[in-house]
Amino acid sequence: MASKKKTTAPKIRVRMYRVGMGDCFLVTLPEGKKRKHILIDCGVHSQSQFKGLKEAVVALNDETGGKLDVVVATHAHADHISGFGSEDEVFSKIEVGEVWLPWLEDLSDPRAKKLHTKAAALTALIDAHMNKPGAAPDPLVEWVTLNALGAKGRSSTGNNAKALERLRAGFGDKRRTKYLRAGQVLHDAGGIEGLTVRVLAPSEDTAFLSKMHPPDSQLYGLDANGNVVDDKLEPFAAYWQDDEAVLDEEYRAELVRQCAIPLQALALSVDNYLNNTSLSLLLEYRGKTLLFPGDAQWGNWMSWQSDWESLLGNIDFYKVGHHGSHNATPHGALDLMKAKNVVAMASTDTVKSFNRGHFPVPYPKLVNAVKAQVGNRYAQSDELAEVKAPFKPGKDEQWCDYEV
Amino acid sequence: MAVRTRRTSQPRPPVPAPPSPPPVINIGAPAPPAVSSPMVEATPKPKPAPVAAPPAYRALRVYAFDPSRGRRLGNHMTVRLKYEELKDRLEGAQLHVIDFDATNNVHYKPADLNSPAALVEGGIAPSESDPRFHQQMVYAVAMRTISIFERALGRGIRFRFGDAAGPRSVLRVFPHAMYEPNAYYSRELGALLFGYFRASDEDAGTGLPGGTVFTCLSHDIIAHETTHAIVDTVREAFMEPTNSDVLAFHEAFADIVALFQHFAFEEVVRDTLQRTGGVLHRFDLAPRTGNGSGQADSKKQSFIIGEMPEGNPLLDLARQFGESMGRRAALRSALGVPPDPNAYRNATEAHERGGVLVAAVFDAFFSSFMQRAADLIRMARSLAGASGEIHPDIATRLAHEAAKVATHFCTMCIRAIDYCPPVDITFGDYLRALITADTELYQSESHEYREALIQAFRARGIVPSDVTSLAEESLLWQKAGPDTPCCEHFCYDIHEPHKFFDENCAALEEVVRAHPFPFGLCRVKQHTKDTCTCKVPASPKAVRSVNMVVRSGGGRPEVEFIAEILGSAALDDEDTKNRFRGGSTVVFDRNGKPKLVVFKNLHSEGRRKKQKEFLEESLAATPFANYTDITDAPLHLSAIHRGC
Repeated sequence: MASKKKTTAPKIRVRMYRVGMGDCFLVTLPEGKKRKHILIDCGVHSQSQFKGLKEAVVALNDETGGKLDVVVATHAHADHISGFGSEDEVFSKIEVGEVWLPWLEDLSDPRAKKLHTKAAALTALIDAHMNKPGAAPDPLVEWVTLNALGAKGRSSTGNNAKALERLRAGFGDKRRTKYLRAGQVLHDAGGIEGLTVRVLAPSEDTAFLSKMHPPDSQLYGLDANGNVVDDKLEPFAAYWQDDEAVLDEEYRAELVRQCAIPLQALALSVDNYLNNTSLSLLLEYRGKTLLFPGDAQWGNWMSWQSDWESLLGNIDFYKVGHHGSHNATPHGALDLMKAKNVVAMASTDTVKSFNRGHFPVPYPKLVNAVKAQVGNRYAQSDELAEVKAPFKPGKDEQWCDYEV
Repeated sequence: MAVRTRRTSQPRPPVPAPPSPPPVINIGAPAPPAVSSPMVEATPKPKPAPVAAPPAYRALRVYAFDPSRGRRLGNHMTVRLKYEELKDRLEGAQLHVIDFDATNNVHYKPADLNSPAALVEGGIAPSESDPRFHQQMVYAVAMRTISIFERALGRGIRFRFGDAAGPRSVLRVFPHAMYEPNAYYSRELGALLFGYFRASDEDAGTGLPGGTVFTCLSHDIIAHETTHAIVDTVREAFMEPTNSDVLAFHEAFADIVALFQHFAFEEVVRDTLQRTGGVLHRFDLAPRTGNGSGQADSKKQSFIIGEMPEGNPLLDLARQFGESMGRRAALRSALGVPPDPNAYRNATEAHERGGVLVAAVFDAFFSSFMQRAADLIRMARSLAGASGEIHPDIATRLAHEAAKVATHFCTMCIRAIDYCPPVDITFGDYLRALITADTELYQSESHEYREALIQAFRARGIVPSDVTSLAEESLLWQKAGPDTPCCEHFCYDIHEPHKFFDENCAALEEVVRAHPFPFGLCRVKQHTKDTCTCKVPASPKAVRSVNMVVRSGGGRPEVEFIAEILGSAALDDEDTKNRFRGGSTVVFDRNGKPKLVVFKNLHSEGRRKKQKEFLEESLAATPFANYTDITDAPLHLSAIHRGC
């Protein structure tokens, strides 16, 4: 039972590091005199304007004394895992209790493996097209591809692959790695007494899975391993070609434009797929509830929609999904977050490297909607100079704390 | 004589002797001599060269389904199209097949369907490797689809496209437009684009793993895409998703038209009937070797292909395409699940929702067929052999019946389009249009079709929101009120239906502008320039089309005019991008007297609110948006078909 001297009881602390376009959250739980640390994501997009990951990792190493009870990687996008690959110096020495990954990263599961292969192949196809000489640059596609691979080049050599290898290997001991699926409830999770973790997503439900399937790359000219089979499929023998042109130039140009491989659509579909693999976790500790949905998009949220009413009304902390993008916090879900003093934090960076047209990140309308719901109890990582109570900015605005 | 020789089982009462027939001298008077009277002297002017009348038909070979069925029964069929002169490179009055491959940036050699060989042999023989056959097949199937619409609508279809080069009334067809597992209609290009792709390596169904699949060789896909183009021509505002039914309707309607074509393939229908004991809608066909029951037996293990049950080809849509995508099944099926009153409400995704409409229409079709053919089926069962197969003669009769009912239904479904509101259609509206259109033509007859449709729609939860009961009378659109003005200046020429199109539009435009209220464009009944704030902008014109139609139902053929009237306003005062549309579809008789007005009022606040809610909801569920501005997103069929 909670102590009667509530005011003096040590509190749960959520620390949001300012990394740029990416996520790095450290949740610290008081357990007696000791403190337990859970690291939720550690990554930044390579095209992020602000780059603070290196400093953040050093700071968190100091803070935790090089010991993390749990490392969570919500999904395999660079802006959530790059640190595990790039910050060798710290992560090769750090002591880790458990590693939690979504079950869709478990390559020993045939279903996960199949989807994984498909997404990887498609990413490779898009990447190959983008890097072809003479290809028109498309910042949106480039952004998405870099996020999925962690670096230019093939998926096997990118930084993401390195980070994932370390995560799957459980920082040196495979047995530490747990693959989580919706419906699981972990008691005394990660060896932390009294911590209950509900896994909300990703679901194993086939209906949900079929909604998040990446399209079949093979149909666009790749083999099952993601190698380009034939960039062009020539359906007929050369004999059948005809020299006489019928179409006027303008019409023909428009036709060619419409018939081009829909790179943006494909890239976005892979992006959405990976976001939807996000591990959505509900942390319950000493009567407080914290929601970390990763970059969950609609499909992921929808898979546990029936529980929204019973769960969302009680949460005390919400990590704003997907860096405050337009499509990762459903209206209906936000409306239910009505507990007194609920707090929201968003880790983001204003993206200027490409024009997302209607959809800048963070999305002003979403930010306004969140503010309307939580009042001034909202903090954004790229505006740490402005944070006020209940938040506490850290040294040089490198991070910001909230005590639940 | 005849009476006496007939055998009757009961003794007849004595009948008075029939009066002897009048002596018949001539049975069928001989035709007057073909030679003209010798009185007329041959004039000295030179004899005109004899001109052969153009042929009535052009025969072209196509696949009834797609190449994956190979030469199996009935898959190679010949389409007989009304003859039209074709210019070089397959250019007709309505279609122009252009074999340009945008991915590879090459043209393929065009087929010459006017060559003697092609004329004699019914065109080029079916072949996957000869692009000229592909061109021929898209031309033939698309033309066939157009002619089905023309027959049902009672008028010619004239496409209306425009690009930099000026207006164009020809739909372009690109049989090998791109390397993509997709096919779609593009309004901007005024074209049908068919893709080709490599079949799945792991699971290509009956096809060759990794083989090339051409969407332009699928009869269903061609019919489906052509239907999209025609519907867009007839109802231009149906491309705007203003409620959750609009996109679904476009897809479902195209599927319905494509599926009904299967029942015209007599050989296949007869075969199916024989192997299902007359039950057309069964999913599995018994193996040809028979298993004694006339039904497929899933439990029995089969060792050879001939013993395995087959899928019913009549119910499947685009089987090769679906299988090549690794789906192990056809793209869609006419009947998937038993009727469920919540089906309509629970389906949200466009294809899923459309599937409910397709299932409802086909449920009504199969029920009507069973009812009409009940006597034949009883006979068939009593004559059935040990294998469960029915007698071939009865199968032939049943196949005729099925084809007839299918034609009736397809015609009904198409004709209903003319009775749909001009914008914002719902499935409920479509049911009302179906019932009204059919009642207009056949007032007292063929109740059973209408009844079957109402039942089937109700069984799936599709009910119009604005009626008090599901009785036939209450589903009918309201008759035009006495306040609806006449349009007295309509002209028509029965031989050239589009001749007065522009004149008639202009004439009606004047009437509509003087009296916008009865056409759903004004809030106030007594519209005058001074008292009313409603504005119908000068451009674009409110009258989008006035089409002359010739309908022949139970009575003698009648000339009518169908007018499409549309106005628009900003959806929201703050939102200048999205439009809110309203107006009416009006049916006029030949004298310009309005018969029916189907409204979607431009000033309905309820509908406006619903549209806003829908846009917000649908954006929330798409990968594009959640908190975004409601963007003006016209329907892009390419994206829908891509499914990603």
